[in-house]
Amino acid sequence: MNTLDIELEQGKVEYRPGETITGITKWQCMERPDKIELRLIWYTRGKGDEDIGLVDTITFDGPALYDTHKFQFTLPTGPYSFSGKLISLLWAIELVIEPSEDCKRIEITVSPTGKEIVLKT
Amino acid sequence: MILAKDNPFRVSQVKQIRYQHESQSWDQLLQRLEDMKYYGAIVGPCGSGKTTLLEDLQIHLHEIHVSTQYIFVSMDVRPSRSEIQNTLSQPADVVLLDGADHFSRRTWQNLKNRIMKVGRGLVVTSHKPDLLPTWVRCQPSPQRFIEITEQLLRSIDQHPFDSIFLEHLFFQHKGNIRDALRALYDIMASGI
Repeated sequence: MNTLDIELEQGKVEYRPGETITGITKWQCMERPDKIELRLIWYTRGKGDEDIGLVDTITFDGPALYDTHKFQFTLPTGPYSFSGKLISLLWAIELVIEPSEDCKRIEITVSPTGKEIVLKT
Repeated sequence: MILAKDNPFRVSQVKQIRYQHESQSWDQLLQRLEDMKYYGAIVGPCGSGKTTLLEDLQIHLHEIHVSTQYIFVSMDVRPSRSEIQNTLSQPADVVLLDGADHFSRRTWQNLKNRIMKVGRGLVVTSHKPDLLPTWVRCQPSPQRFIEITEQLLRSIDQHPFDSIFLEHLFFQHKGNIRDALRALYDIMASGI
């Protein structure tokens, strides 16, 4: 079984738009992967069809069986993390191994306060 | 109020529930389809799992190295002639056509003849049983709806609906499991 990990600096998961995310990613694979990607994404969850936005990607071509890398992403100005009855918008950093498509995902929040905005009716 | 990301009936959770045939295993279903020369229809009413079954079929066919091309047609999504031609020009052993009964008779006949002519298989979903020989008939049951609901509620470790209510909801939505699950989403979102 492949082991994947993402560690954010100081365990921080609340961010403001435009802020920089730094951390370390590690993997240990059973077979040599073709490619490993670290992605900064947002996606929706809820009653309707899901949307996903790929904001930034760091590609590790020809990766070793096991390795550790520092990474850095700069967040855009939006969209903000929010949740209501019908839809939630979530941010995440995910590490994906190809071709197995094993994935490790950690959620973060992005908003002017760093907290998820809750829509109340 | 339960937030969308935590609602047990959110689309991402519902999509993880796969089609389960009442009596036949996937090996048996694939054998039957092979006996039918990969030429058959998944027939059933709205929200009965036809698309889910067709998606699962694609995965199972790839596992046995049968290549496929997938075409989706609905009331809202109509691929253009060039899009269909482009899809059919790609090499594939079997064409999977989701929503075949949304085509006009003439378009359907032309498409079917074209696929038959080149010796490819064709598996379609349809509300009507008269397009191709029936491979699987999807017949939703209240019991299956209750099972799906129980499975989805495991993520929140609650069971706020009794089976009489769920059965009533199933019939209220005329056996359309997709719509009944959407109704449960709304109930959970409103707070119960």
